[in-house]
Parts: sequence; structure tokens; C-alpha cells
Amino acid sequence: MSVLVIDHFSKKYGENKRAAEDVNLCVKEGDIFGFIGHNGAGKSTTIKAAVGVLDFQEGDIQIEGHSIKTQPMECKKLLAYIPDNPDLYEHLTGIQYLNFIADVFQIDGTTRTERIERYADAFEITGDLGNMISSYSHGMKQKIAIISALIHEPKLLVLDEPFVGLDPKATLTLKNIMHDLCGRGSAVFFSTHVLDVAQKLCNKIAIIKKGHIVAQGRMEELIGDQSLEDVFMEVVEHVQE
Amino acid sequence: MYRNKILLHNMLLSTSGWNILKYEQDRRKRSRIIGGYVGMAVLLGMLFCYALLLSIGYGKMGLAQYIPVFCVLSIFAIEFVFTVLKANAYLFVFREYDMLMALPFSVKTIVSCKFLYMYIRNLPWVASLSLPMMIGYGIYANASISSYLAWILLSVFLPVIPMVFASAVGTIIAAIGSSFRHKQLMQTILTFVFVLFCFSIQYIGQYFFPNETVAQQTLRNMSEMTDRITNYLIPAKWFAKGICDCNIAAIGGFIVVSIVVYELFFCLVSKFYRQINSRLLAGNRGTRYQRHTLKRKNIRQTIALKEWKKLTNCTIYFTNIAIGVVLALVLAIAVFFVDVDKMIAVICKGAPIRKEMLVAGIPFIIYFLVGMCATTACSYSLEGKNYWIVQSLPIPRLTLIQGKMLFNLYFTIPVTVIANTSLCIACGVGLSDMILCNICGIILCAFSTVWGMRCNLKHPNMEWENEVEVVKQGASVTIYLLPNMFGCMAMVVLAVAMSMYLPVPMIWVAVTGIMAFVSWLLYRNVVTLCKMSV
Repeated sequence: MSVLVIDHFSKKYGENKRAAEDVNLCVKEGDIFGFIGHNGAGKSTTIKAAVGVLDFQEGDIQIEGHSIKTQPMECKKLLAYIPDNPDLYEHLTGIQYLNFIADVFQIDGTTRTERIERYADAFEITGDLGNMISSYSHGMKQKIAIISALIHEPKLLVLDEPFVGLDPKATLTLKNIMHDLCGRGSAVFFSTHVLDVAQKLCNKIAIIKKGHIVAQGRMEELIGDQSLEDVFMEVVEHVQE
Repeated sequence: MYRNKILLHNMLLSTSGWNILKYEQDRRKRSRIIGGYVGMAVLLGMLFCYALLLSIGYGKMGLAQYIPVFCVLSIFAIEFVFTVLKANAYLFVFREYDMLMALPFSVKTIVSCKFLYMYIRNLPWVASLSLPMMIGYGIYANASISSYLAWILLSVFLPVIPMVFASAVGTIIAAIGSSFRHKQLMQTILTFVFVLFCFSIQYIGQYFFPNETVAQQTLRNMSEMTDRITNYLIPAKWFAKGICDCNIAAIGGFIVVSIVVYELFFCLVSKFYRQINSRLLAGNRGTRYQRHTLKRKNIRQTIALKEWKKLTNCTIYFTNIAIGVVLALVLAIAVFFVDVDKMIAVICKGAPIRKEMLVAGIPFIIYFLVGMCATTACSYSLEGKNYWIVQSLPIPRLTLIQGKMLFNLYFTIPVTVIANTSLCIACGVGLSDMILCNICGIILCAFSTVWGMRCNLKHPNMEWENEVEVVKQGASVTIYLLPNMFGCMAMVVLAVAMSMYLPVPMIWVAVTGIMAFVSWLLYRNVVTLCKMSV
């Protein structure tokens, strides 16, 4: 079943600049979908539109059949989004922030305690949960944002550059969590510049160039016996959008 | 409702300073929070006393029955103007916008919580105006218990209507501004035009109907005046009726209208909210960079230029800090078109003052406007999380601070000179005295610059979540503003009074000398503060 469907999505800034042009994507249950492209190619614009942050006029984006335009609340209850540079409430403690998110998703006390403990232990941040977020390093803030995204076990996890700032162990933990989540019927859609990670982690991939999807499909079909890096360079150098 | 509650709770928890007091290890940071609360309590106390004295004055003049209308009008005006100046920064493109919009909150919940956050932060100020007036009214009008209860109940709803209308203005400004390439600049200009229009309404009216002074009107035509105002401002009439006559329908009407206006506005704004924010967040992406030769600049000039860019790219910063400078420019232009004596009559409510009497006060009147708030009082704090950029550059802290001070001088001195010169010409001041007046004005600008910088270095706040916390609620701005404002008002009165016994140039020379010495002392202090750790 399709978890995320991006259907003829276009977004333009001002009169001239088109950030995304007729983008079509489909992320199914169990998919770990990598979204790659140069800086300014339109990855973040597409992601922000998919999670309901950015307004758009052309096309539609659906999460489990609900349109983000007309049924944003239904969509947001199903997804979790982690921006590339999460701006959290700096003067809350880590545990206060996680409690706030759990309140928003109305997770009961026992479940939230169990999940926070599980993920905080996995990311080795339990001891810091009582400190204010303003005192955290970038990586620790990223970990809190990831834990907050996992509290309600989302059907769709959307991440913008999730590995930036994470230490190697946390990166591995996140990759395991992604696999685990997808094994339970959810889907992960994320953008990254780390092509090695994308190649090993994703079963599907899309390459965006100047707002156009220039290649997409199953990883093995797309790269064959080449590396993702080679394919990416070839595609962005030679394919006309 | 449940989500409103948890979002609002966390917004307040995150910005109240409570967590810093509870969890922060750094004693200095905890002291700053306590100092901020003490300072706020002092200001609230001062406002309380002022409002109490005012209402006692009304009571003694036998005008106690008009205190409720006066209260509602004061709060409406203050809440409206101050909300217009900050609504955009609170409601649109705030730091955690992406995080909140991706959570299962409806748009209406997010925007209404932002409004309620503003409202709750305004409530202590509303209470410190409303409650003393209630006491004054109660004493002089022999009010019943039900009048007190009605007043307390209605006080809670008092700021809603003006704040909603101000937010509507802010939304319209944001919506219009978002369509332009230079979005921030456009919003700044529109906000200024609107605020200046609001300021001028009263004076335009008085300029065209100057026959009676307000003081005379107060005594003779208070009834007629309040009737006229309340005819247009129906909620004010309901408030007064609710208090004076304990009229249940009027009390209900006021509360219902406040709630309906609130609901209507947020239903409407939530339809366009994401669209406006998306356009504002888009920045100037249509701009294509054109290559050109770049010039090398002095470090201090570079920092000053960076300050200018910051000022023009931040609406809340520009509208709050530059309001005095803009007013001084407006005054400088206005004196060429409007007779100064008429202008004085309007501003001084018809008091028998002629322009010749005010000559000694010219540099202080202009300074009152130009020095209303210095960029230096908040520019250091505004570095916020970007402070690492300048910190990691090979620039001594003093050079950075000097650059910031240089910018304030660039920003204030030209306007001071223009305004002083035009006012001197309009008042018939001779050339040599005009030069002295300008020197005095320049020294006052220097004082304002170093005083602002000292306040900011002493009370920095780098961990803000919204510029409003620094520009409008910052301890350094308040500490700069109040002594400077009251000191300047005292200087105007003192200079005018002394001019009856001493030649005006002598007064200006003496003030110039004293202020130059004080500025030098403050500068030394700034240098010392720069050498200390952050």
C-alpha cells in the first residue's frame, strides 16, 4: 500500500524560480526511500510540502490516501518530520520537549515512558534528558528530534539530511531504527548527500535536478553493478531535465 | 482545546525563564532572569502608581464617572500600537515554524496560541493600568462590589479587541509584504506608515480644531467627548455601562464581541496563514547575483554595514529602534510646512508656550526622538546564535563593539543635524548658535551610543527565540530607555527654565561639556566590559 504519493507536484518562488516541477513519487509500506540531489535541487522544498510546512498550488501530496492540502491533520497524525537543522524549544529540557510531543500525539503515560527510555538509551542520551536543550550539541539536538519523531511510531518518517551531526554509533542506531520501523509496515523518506549510506540503506531512490526528477526506481535496477555515486554523477551531468 | 493548552503551556515554559532558574548551572544567567523580573516588577509598579494618581486626579476633579471610558481608551490605544509593532514577529516566520507546522496542530491552533502567548505576556501591563483605575473609580464613585467584580472580569477581555485588530493589521502588512521581492523592507515601510498615521490622527484633529485646549475640553466637554468617542467605539460604551450601571447586557456584549472578533479573525487568518508564511520564507530566491568588483573596507565600517543590513532585514528591529529617528525626520520636514507655534500648541495641548521659549530645548527635543532607542542597546544581543561567526573571526571584541557603535553614530548623527538645523531655522536661531546646537546634538548622539552599548554589554541576552525578546522585552533596552527618556524630558524643562536666566549658547556649551565627559567615562566602561569574559 502507498504511504506517500507525490502527484504532479510543482512549486515556484516568485515569477521565475521553479523549485520543483512536476514531481511524481510513490513511497510504499516497508520502503526506505532516498531522495538525492545537489544543493538547491528542490529536495527540501518537496519534503516541506510533503509534511505540510510549505504551501503549494500545483499537484497533490497524499499520505495513506489523505491529501496534505485538504486533510492536513489526518496526514500529520501519521507522519513525523525531522528538519535538517531542527529548531526545538531551546529552554525546555530534553524530557520536557519529548513529553510535549507525546502530549501532542496523545500517547499514554506507560507507552511514552517505555518508548522514550528505549530510544534515549539507544542514542545514549538518557543522562542528558534533564538538561535544557540550549545546552545540547548539534548532534544531541538531532537525537532529541529523532526520538520525538519516533514517539508515536509514525506510518511515514520524513527526514531531511538526518545523518548530519550524528556520531557513527548514533548513525548506526538510526539506520537500525529505520529498518525496524519499515519492518513493521511504516515507510521512511529521507534526503541525503551521503551516497554510500543511501546505497546501503535504501531500497528505492529518486534523483532530483533543478526541480525535476531525473531518475527514480528500485536501487538495484537503477545502479546495476555501478556505485550510486557513479550513477548520480552520470545522471546529473548528462540527463536533460 | 487540549492541543491549544499544551502548545501554549510549552511556549510559556520555554520563554518564561523558569527553566533557567531551575536547571541552569551558570549563576550569572540565573541572576539575569531574576534581575529581569525585578526590573519588570518595578516598571509595573511605576505604571500602577501613575495610573492610580491619574484616576485620583480625575476623581478630585469630579470626573470619576469617566474613569472607565478613559481606562478602556488608554488600554485600547496602547495595546493596539504596541501589538502592531510586534505582531508580525510573533505570528509569522518564527523560529520553530517548521517544527510546529509538521505536528498535528491545526493552523488555527498554532496562530491562536501565538496570539494568546502575546496576550498573556501583555496581561500584567493591562492589569497595572486597569486595576489602579478601578481603585480610583471605586473610591470616588462609591462603587458597589458588583462594579469591582465587573471591572476585574472585563479587564481580562480588555486587550482582546485591540490586539486582534492590530494582529489583523500585522497580517495584512505581512500578506502585502510577502508579494514583494524585498519582503522585510516592504513590511517595515508599511508598518512605519501605519504607526505614523496612528500617531498623527490625534494631532491632525487638534491642528484643525485648535480653538479649545484639551485641558479645557476635559473639564467642560468631558461628557460630550466621551459620548462622541463611545458612539464610534461601542465596546468602550459597553465597558463603561457594565462598570457604572452593572448592566449585564453590556458586560455580556463586551465579552461576546471580544470572543467573536477573536474567533472570526483566527478562522480567517488560518485560511491564508501557510500561504503567507511560505511566501515570506521563500526569501528573495528570484534574485540572480550579478558579478561585480568587490571593494575592501575597514573592519569597523564592515561591521557597521553588517548592522545596517541587519536593521533593514528585520522588521521588528527597524520599527522599534528607528521609530524615533523617523519621527525626528518627519518633524524636520514638517517645520517647513507647518507653523512651529501651531505645532507647539498641538503637542503641548494648548499650553501658552511660544517657539522662542523653546529654543534652549531644541537639541534635547530632537535627542528625545533620535535617542529614544539606540541600536547599540540591543545590537550585541541580536547577534544571538550567530555570535560564533564574529567570535571565531580574528577581530578583537572591542573592534566589534566599536563597529556597532559606529553604526549608531552613522544612523543618528545625520538625522540629528538635519532636524536640529531645520528646527533652528524655523525658530530663527542664528548661524553660530545653530552650530553650537548641532555640536550639542552630536555629543548627545555619542552619549546615546555608548550608554546603549554599556547597557547591552552589562545585560546581554544571546539565547533568545524571537527578536521581540531582545528588542521589546530586553532588560538592556529597558535600562537604556527609561533613564534616557526621563533624563531627556528633565533636560528640556531645565534648559527652557534656565534660559530665562542664562544665555542659551552657554547652556548648550555646558551640557555639551558635561555630556562629552559622561560619554568618555561610559566609553571607558565599555572598553573595560569588552575586556571581561562574555
